[in-house]
Amino acid sequence: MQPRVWIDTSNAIFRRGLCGCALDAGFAVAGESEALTPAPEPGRVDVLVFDLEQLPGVLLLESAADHFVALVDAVDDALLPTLLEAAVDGFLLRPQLRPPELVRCLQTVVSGGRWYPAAPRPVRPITRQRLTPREVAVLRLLADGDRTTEIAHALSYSERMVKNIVHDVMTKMECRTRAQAVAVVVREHVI
Amino acid sequence: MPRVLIVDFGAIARRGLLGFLDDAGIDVITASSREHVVTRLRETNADVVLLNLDADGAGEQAKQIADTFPELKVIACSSERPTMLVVPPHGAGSYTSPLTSARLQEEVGAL
Repeated sequence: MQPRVWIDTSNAIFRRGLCGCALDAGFAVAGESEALTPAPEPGRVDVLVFDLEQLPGVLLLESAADHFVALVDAVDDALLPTLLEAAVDGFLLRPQLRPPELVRCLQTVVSGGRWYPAAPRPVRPITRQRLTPREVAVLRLLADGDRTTEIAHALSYSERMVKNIVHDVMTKMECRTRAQAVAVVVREHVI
Repeated sequence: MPRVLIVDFGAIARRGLLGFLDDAGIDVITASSREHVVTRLRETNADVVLLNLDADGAGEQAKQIADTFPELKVIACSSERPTMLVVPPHGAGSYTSPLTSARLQEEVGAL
């Protein structure tokens, strides 16, 4: 059966465009809405694509869809922890989104993968073997949205030590920000 | 049936506009960029031009085009916010309107 998508976004033109691109790529469009009105019907949707602003409403929907993809305007440090915590399977940057990326994202999340496109692929692939257990532990907590003080407390390290570990990891992974490092390890299934 | 020129939208928004206008049986032509819009308008004899309101200086460009082509209806619509700017033909006074599929089809179809 064709995977069914539901598109919830506030602009009528963009919404219609997303539906059209999904249909062109062989998806079925189960429905569309603005600000979750009407709400997607439970059990009828494989992927719900929604504006990030609607995340609180999406979290209140019970089993509305199997997979979730957020449309975001920009990536900041708070975005990835927020999405990871909410178990959102992927996100798309609205301003530069093009049809092929939309389609690849939908196909990826339908088959159980994650689509976190913020970080460019590192030059050398990151594997579990390249990180120490200590670094993995810190990255896990970063992905949970913990701050340096919270990580230090949880692992009984000093804050200075946590900062050093994070710095080493980012250098090793050739990442510019903590968010990028988290995105890479999540995408590569290292944590 | 009106002929509509679509200018300078991203691929997804363009797909959406084509969908709406196709449903309404409207003939659509496109211009590759904002720079070509005046040339394309001269070539094609369009009745309506759809500009991208999210582009820099779009409101200004809409008014300039309306001045150059008094017979033309100019609509600038956003593909981010739910709003559009309409400049009717013959200097009838511009106005903004909420952007919904029905309003857009109505504005494009009603000349």
